[in-house]
Amino acid sequence: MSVQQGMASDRQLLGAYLGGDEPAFREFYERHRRAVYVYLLSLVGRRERAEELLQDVFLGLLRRLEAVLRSANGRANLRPYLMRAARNHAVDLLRRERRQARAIERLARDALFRASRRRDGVETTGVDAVELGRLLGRLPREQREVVVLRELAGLTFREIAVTVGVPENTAVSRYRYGIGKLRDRLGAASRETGRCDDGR
Amino acid sequence: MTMDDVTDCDLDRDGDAKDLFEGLTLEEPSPGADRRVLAAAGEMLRERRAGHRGERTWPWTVAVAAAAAALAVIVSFPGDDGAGDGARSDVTGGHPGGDPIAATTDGIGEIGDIDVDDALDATLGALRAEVERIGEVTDLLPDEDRDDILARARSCLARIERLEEAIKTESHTQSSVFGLPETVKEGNA
Repeated sequence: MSVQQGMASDRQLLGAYLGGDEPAFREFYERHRRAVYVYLLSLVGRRERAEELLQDVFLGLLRRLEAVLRSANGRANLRPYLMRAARNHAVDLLRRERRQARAIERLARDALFRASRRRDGVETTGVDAVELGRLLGRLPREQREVVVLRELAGLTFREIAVTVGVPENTAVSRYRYGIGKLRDRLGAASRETGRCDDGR
Repeated sequence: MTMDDVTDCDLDRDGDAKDLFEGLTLEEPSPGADRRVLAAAGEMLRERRAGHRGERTWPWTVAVAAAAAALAVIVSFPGDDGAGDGARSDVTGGHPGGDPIAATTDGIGEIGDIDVDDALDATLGALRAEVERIGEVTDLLPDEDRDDILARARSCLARIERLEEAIKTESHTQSSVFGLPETVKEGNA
């Protein structure tokens, strides 16, 4: 069995994998690896831990693939499932380490973004990627998590609500507070460095 | 209008965050991490092909139904007050919205008055495996449901353990009639 890569839904890809099409899983993995990894990184802070959990998430999916496909209620997009599994793995890790309260409030240590747009010469908004990542890491964990899920993982607020386990309007509220703080802090940082050129 | 529509309108009014994140390149896992995941996927697929995974490739819903069906065969529900029938119907998958754990534990709870043969031991083993598997997939559920299901799964496993112990005990004293110790009966009440 094979599927046309780039056109198939998550369910189709995983169904093809179950049928023996190994590249179908590679396509599925390529589709989600960055979003899941960055979400994990935003939760646990360190690359090596995020990578361990990334493996746990995808291998856990593989071990229970038939059940997941049956339980997904026909959803073609499994990213919300992956994000929820990622969150559960991260929380379990932090609990095991008995440092949940401290660790989950710690700022993310490793960067969420690659090289700065400013350094890449493709600056579009005057926002430096490193600076944005740093400020994002300084948001309260609840707000940072929702902003990451919305802006970096592309989840809807409804999906975020299910992933995080809060009412949808709470997810929206956290997002808006988080974005507001990001803008305020970016504006302050820009003014401090004389880089504020658009009034934000 | 959905909640997303409402919130998107609100966000448009305030200005959403697309400008903040546009053009950013996300960090990504190392090539080593990618290789480990993909290698594991390949290995698991090969195991599936070779049939080395045995029952783990068996869909758990089918396994639950089969185990429950086996249980239904060897379990006679005395008095036939309807509760037993309902339990069996749910467990065997006749109703997608049914509650297999509750039905299974209900069924196990009535086991005290039945005849037992060697198949019961194997069936309990199958049930144990399926309950454990149900526990493994609970991260698909919202927190409140997950906690409830996990609690019931743990309760079910505890009952299975007691039954297994009871079987071992009774096998030394009886060959055909299965009478549960009073403590087990009370626990199931």
